[in-house]
Formats: sequence, structure tokens, C-alpha cells
Amino acid sequence: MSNSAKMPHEQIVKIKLNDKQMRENLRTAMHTLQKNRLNLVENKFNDWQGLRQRAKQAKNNAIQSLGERLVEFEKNATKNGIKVHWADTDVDACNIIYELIKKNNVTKILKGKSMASEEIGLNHFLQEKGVEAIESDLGELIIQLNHEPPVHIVVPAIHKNRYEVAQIFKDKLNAPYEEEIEKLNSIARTHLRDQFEGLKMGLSGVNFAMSKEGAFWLIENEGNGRMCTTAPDIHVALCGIEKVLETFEDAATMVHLLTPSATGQFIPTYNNIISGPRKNGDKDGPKEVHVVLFNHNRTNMLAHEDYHEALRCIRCGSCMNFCPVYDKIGGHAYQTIYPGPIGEVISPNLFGMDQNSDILSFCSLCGRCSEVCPVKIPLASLIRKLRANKVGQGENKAFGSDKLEHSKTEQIAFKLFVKAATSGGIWRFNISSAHTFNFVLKTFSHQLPVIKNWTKYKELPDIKGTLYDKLKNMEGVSYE
Amino acid sequence: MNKKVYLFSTCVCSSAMPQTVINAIELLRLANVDVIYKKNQTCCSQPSYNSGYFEESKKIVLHNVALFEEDESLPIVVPAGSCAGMFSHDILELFKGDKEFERIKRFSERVYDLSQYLHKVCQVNYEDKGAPLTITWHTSCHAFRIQKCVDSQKALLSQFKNVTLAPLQYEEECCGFGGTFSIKEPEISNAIVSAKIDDIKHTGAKYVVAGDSACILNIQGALKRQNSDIQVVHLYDFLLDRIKGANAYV
Amino acid sequence: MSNVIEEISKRSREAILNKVAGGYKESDFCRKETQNPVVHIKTTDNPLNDMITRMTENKYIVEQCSKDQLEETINKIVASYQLNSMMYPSDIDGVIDINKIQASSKLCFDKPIEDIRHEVFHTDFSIIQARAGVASHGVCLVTSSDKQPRMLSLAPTLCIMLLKKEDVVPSLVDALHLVKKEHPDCLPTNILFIAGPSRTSDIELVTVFGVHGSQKVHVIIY
Repeated sequence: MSNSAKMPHEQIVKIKLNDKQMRENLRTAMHTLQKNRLNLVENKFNDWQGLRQRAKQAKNNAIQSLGERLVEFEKNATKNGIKVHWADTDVDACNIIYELIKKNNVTKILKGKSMASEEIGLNHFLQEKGVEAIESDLGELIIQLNHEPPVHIVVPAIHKNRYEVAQIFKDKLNAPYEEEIEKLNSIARTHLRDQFEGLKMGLSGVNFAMSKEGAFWLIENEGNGRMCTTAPDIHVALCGIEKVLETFEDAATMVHLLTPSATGQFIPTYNNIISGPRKNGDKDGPKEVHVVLFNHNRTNMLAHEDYHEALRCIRCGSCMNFCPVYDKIGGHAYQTIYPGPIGEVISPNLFGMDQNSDILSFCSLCGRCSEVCPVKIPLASLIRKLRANKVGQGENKAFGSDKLEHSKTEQIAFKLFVKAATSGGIWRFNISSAHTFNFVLKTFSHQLPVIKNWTKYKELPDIKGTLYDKLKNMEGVSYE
Repeated sequence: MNKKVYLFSTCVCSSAMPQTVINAIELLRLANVDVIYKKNQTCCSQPSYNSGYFEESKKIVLHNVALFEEDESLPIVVPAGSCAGMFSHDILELFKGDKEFERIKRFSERVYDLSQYLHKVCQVNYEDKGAPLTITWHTSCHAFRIQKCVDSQKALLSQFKNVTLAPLQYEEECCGFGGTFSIKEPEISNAIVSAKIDDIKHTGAKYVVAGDSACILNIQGALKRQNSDIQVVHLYDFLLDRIKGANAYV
Repeated sequence: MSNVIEEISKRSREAILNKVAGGYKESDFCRKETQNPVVHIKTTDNPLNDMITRMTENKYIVEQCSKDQLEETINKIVASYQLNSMMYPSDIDGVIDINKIQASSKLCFDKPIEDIRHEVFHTDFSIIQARAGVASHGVCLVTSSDKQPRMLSLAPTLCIMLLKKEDVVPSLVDALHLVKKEHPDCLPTNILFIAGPSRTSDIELVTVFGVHGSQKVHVIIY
């Protein structure tokens, strides 16, 4: 994502908070997703926490042996007839896909839902080269027609209600204005059906690759993903290197958790395991299957003692479903591909701290994301560590940190805070002379707009009495 | 013989809600516990820690840890789940790989939230002398997810048979305080606390009881600004009121 | 392959593997083989019942009959939707007598899709054989082969799956190992677990059925 298109942080926050329709849509949707997940976990699972632990272990097994996994996947997939390509950067990945398009004289590709393709900016890249990339997932189609990025990694158009979708289909597809969701679905189905029939090249992401089998597993509900991977002559699958696991057991473990965490769906409608192109007398399926293994700064995270944990992410989105900030401002306020708590961790790591670290303040550190994450990524703790990088602290900082300017006034404020908080005398004096809510507020208020920002929306407390005089005279209390 | 504890009264409680500290001590005294109050204690360091100022935070933690090392057999009791969580859990992460780690670990193992200490160690049994009252309860994030003391807080409340609890629909959602978050993102913080207030109003209760003074200041501050009469009461103020039958909350 | 791709791929492979080798090694990391996760799914001691319950929850329409009633059962289903054109895999003949199925047109998918593309995309219903049913999740295991191409379970509005009642396996992992055992040298190019009709909840989280895959899926257990 280019920096130039970004709006100032405060401005986008205000705009999004004032978007009442979006907030209402998100509030309702996120609460529904929360409830669905909780009900499913309660009704269908034994020892959900134990399952999370297994999933964490399975992902760690792969991440701690990633070199082996990648080479093994390449070997076995190649044996199965899949063409494996490697891409170190986002541009490398785009170029490989474009070369495949050029070689096959394709002018249009259909895409299954893939956050990875959003991450490498594929649609934009291809558009500039004159290739049309059409989204086939209903949610992705809606936002593509409306020229928006996904607002959520699982339900990309969840900020739009049926009336807004009806208007988009009317304006962009010349469809009749229909308010029934069934009819809206039918408009999209008809629009895409002919495209599938004549499809030459389809693009998908990868949910889990299995190195031992040289195969990969895709999940979806609509059938668009299967169309994109079955109907065309050529299927290209874009696979982040962290998606490579080892065994069927590893991948099945993730499937047991993914949609339950995401939407409270027990299992996706289609679990589509692909082990190669049409062969041995097959009558359909693509004639070529390509997998692009791409890095795009994942190895930076892999090298970090803390941030490597975020590579376990299976893109379920439950962290954003449960985030108290996300549903207030929506995914677009993050102005980066991955929003929500996981976005706060991986967006700065993938795109650079200088591009994305402003979103680190979109977190009250309530810890609910860490609690629901199916692969136990300590999101809140990683966000805090990135904040340390942002102010110039911590070893092995996320890349781009050195390009950030540090607020001198904030540094001075914290220096003064430390001075007070390491001296009982100064501290007691401050507290005893408090006639306003002054614990940290007063210490900071000369440097930072602390009281001003608090009193914008909240009253300061009335403080009755002081502590120390009373303490000194209490029976059973030794004040020393 | 009486038990004895150190009390760490937290910066928010000490400065903004001094009477709550006194009430917390009274509850300990009722459970036959003597209290040592180290006068040079300050803050658990969360303002700097949560803002990423780790080096500064370590200095603050070490200043406080040193005060409580005189008698390492004594527990350290904290009347706020968030600060208790910082001292019992988060400082282990802050000092990971630090030469002081073992010392920090010993300290962390002695830390209790007051509710846990009263409920699990003292095994208090309270008689309700208050009039029938319906309240709602706010679960504080760090009390719930880090210190894990909300069970104890609720167990204490449930001993009061004249108190009816009308639960919040979205009890496990943050109130939008988040320390420096509320200052850095005042608009978002306000949106979150306003959602919390809607939920509170939905219960019809006049009082919200909560176990963390920071959440209390946040919710109360916003309620007042929105001209609501609903009062947010600290758990320990509430408990003592019921035990004494003072009926300040009716 | 084009030189550009080869050049990027070769350079990237080396760069990625080098950087991966420099990854952080967790000092206390202990590798533990992943076991079948199905122990975390609530089940009863009756796998067939579990499967039927969960298939129904997944919006399969489940029917049971004896093998010699299959054609009759299929005809009833098709009649209820008033559908006309049918396609079927070339090896279904051993299971049902295709002559007994009532349909205005019958397409055996025994030639490359290029020859019959339009028909495949515009056929009303299909009959396929499921290799197994999975008790834990209420899904059918469907594998592609030269006899039973992939599109059969995707393109038509109605898909009728036939499943032998002895082909119930406890878990997804058991099903995958069954496939592996039957194809020791080379996996089927497409292995599917299908959980009923295609659907979307992308607008307001309201679920509607029949997007790009089947709108109705019947499973007949025999």
C-alpha cells in the first residue's frame, strides 16, 4: 500500500467514528460472530483450550523447521506435477504471476478470496499491466465493485448492509435494485457464472500446505474457490511461506479451529485438497498448477524472538471480531491490508514500522484477542513490544523502526514520571497535593495534552481526603 | 496470631480514591490481618510499560520491589486486578532475560489481588446488613485475563444475599480505559465507554460495582459527562458498606 | 518456463532459504508429533448417528435406503425439484442402473471437459459416489478420478451423493489416511470434504444457499 494515499491518523479515526451506519453494521455483526463462536465451542468441542495448545504446537513444529518444510514441499509437490516458484518480495510474486499470464496470453483472471494477493497488491499490479483480475468471492466482489479494500479478513464487506449492496450492484452491474439477500446473491451468481465457464486462469490463496504430501488445502463456502481451482486451464496458488505445515494431521488440526473461531461455523462447506494438475486420465481440473511460495518480510519476523509467534496466524479474524476498538472504527481506519489486533502486529512487520506503526495506538491492551486466538498468539503482548520499538526501545526492532521520529516531549514526560515513581518523597508530595485526578495526569500534563484529552469526554473525579494522614493513624497498620 | 501482609495501594487508588485504600485495609483488619504500608511505594509502572517505555518501567518496578523484600515471607496484597496482574505476571515478561529475573520472579509469586486474598486465603464469610439492592458488575480486563481474580471478586459479592446482580450483556468487553490509550485515542476511548454505558443502562441498575479503580474513573467520568445518575462503586467500598449496614448505596 | 520466472525463483529460493536458516530458535522448543485432533470433538458411540446428525446440521438432506431402492429414491428426489438434465460418473453403473433414472438428458462425464464444457455448466443435477462419510463433522469425502471428475460435485444445482453405510469413518484424518492407503503412489489430484450445499453469509451474516456450487445436496446412505 502506498503511503501517499494515507489520511492523517486523527482524521481517519474521526471519519470512521462518525460513520454511524458502518458502526451499527459492525457492532451487530461482531456480536453475532462472538456469540456464534462461543456457542459452537460450548456445544461441539471437548477441551477447546487443549485443542488450541495442539494447534500452537503443530504450527510451531512447522515454523521451527521451516527450511526443511519448504524444501520437502517443493520436492513432493514437484513430484505430484505442481510447478513450485519462489518469490522473496511482493514484487517478485506479482512478476511471477504476471509472467504466467503473459506466457498464456490471458487477459483476465478470476480470483478466489486471498488476503495474500491483497498483501502483495496483485490486483493493482495487474491492472497497470492491462490485465483484469476479478474477485469471485461475494464479499470481495462487492468491495471490488465499490473500489474499497476489505474491511475484515474473513467477511470483507461486513460493513455494508443489504441496501448498500443493492445500490452497488445497481450502479456497477446495472442490476435491478433488490433488497433481498437471496436476490443479491443470485445477481452475483449470474454475473460470475459465465466468467467461470470461459475461464483460462484462476488464482487462489492457500490455507495450509502439507509438505509430506506435496499438496495444499483450501477452505471456502461459496464454490467460487473450487471454480477458480477447477474450471480454468491454469491454477496459480499464492502461498505465504508460513502456510507450509507437514502432515494431514497438522492441517486437519487447523481446520478443526479455523471456521469455528472465525464465524462459528463447524466446518467449511468445501475443504478442497489439491495435489496436482489433471493427470492419470482425469477428465477435468487445470492442466497446470503453480504454487508461488512468497516471503515478503516474513523471514524478518521469523528471526525475531517475539514476532515469530505471529507467523502462526491462520487468518481466522477472531481477534478483530472480539476487539473493542475494531468494531468502533472498522478495518479501513487501519489503512493497511491486515486490520485489527493481528494487523497491528503483522502490518508493521510486513510493510515497515515507518508505514504502519501509527495503528499501534488502536489497542487498549484488554487482552481479549490473545484470549480467543486459536493458535495462542500473544497479540496484546506483541503490540506492546512493537510500541517499545516505536519509541526506540527493544532489541532487534521491527524493520523501519529506525526511520521513525521519536517525540521528545513524550520522552521527557516519561523521564519525569520515572523520577517521581522512583522517589517516595516526590510521589507522596504529588499525591497529597492532588485536588484533581492527578496520578499520572499531573506528572505528564506539562508535556502532553493529558488532562485536555481526558476532559474532552469525561469528568475528573472529586477527591475526598488524602491518604497518608489516615494511614498513619490506623490500628493494625504499620506505616514505615 | 494475626496474619500480616504488605499492601501496595496503587497510584490510581492512592491519588483518586484514597478512601478505597482505607476501606481495603479495614477489610483486611476485619479478617484479622495486620498491614505493613511501605510509604515509599509508588506505581506498578503500567503507564510507561504499556506505552513501550520498558527501560523506564524496569526502574520503577525495581524501586518498588526493593521495598517489599524486607520480609519475603509476607504476601503483597493489591486492591486492583490490573496492578496485581502487572506485578504477578507482566513483570516476568518485562524482565525476561534480565539479570534481575530471579528476584522479580520471587516477588511476583507473592502478589495477590485483595479479592483473592480475602476469598481464598482468609476465606472470609460476610453477613449482609444492607437493604435489598440490584447492582450490575463490571469485569476489568486485566483482573479477568491476567490476574484472573474475577471469580474471587464475584464470590465475595455473592455472599451478600440482599444483593441482586443484573449482569451486563457484554460483560467481557473492555470499558475503553486502557491507561495511556484513553489519552492517546480519546475519541475511540469515548466510543468504547459509551457502548459500555449503553450496556449498563440496559440492566436498569443504579450502581455498577467494579474491582479496578482505573475502570471506575473512566466509566464514572463518562457517565457524569453524559449527565447520568448511575454511580460506579469500588468493590471494597461496596463490601464494607454492606458488612456495616451503612446503606450509602440505596 | 520463461526465463524471467526462473531467474526470480532461483534467486528467491536461495534468499528465502538463507533467511529461514537464520530464524529464531526457541531454546525450550520441543517437537511433538501432531495427533488426530478428533478427540476434541464431542461424539457418541454411534458414528452413523453422529454423522447423520451433523450432516443434517450442515444442511445435507439425508435419506437411507437399501441398495436396490437407490434408483427409486433418486427418482423421487429429482421429481420433487422437477429437474431435467443429469450427468454422472462413468463408474456409477456398478451401483445404480442409470437406465432407471428419469431424466430428459443423461450425460456420462467420460470425456475431457473441453468437449462438453457447456453441458457441464448447464446440467441440472448429478449423481456421484462418496468415498466415505465422516462422523465427527458430517461431511462426505469425495475424491476425483478418471471415472468421477471434480465438476460433478460442483456445477449442477442439485447433487445427489451415494454413500455406503459401512463407509463411515470417525474423523477427517481417518478419511485422509484411507485415501492414502488406496492411492499409495499418487494422491487423487483433488480430495474434497463437502459439507452440504454451497453458501455465503457475506451480506449481513445472513446465510443463503446455492452460490457457485450446488444449491441442494442430498446424501443417500445405503
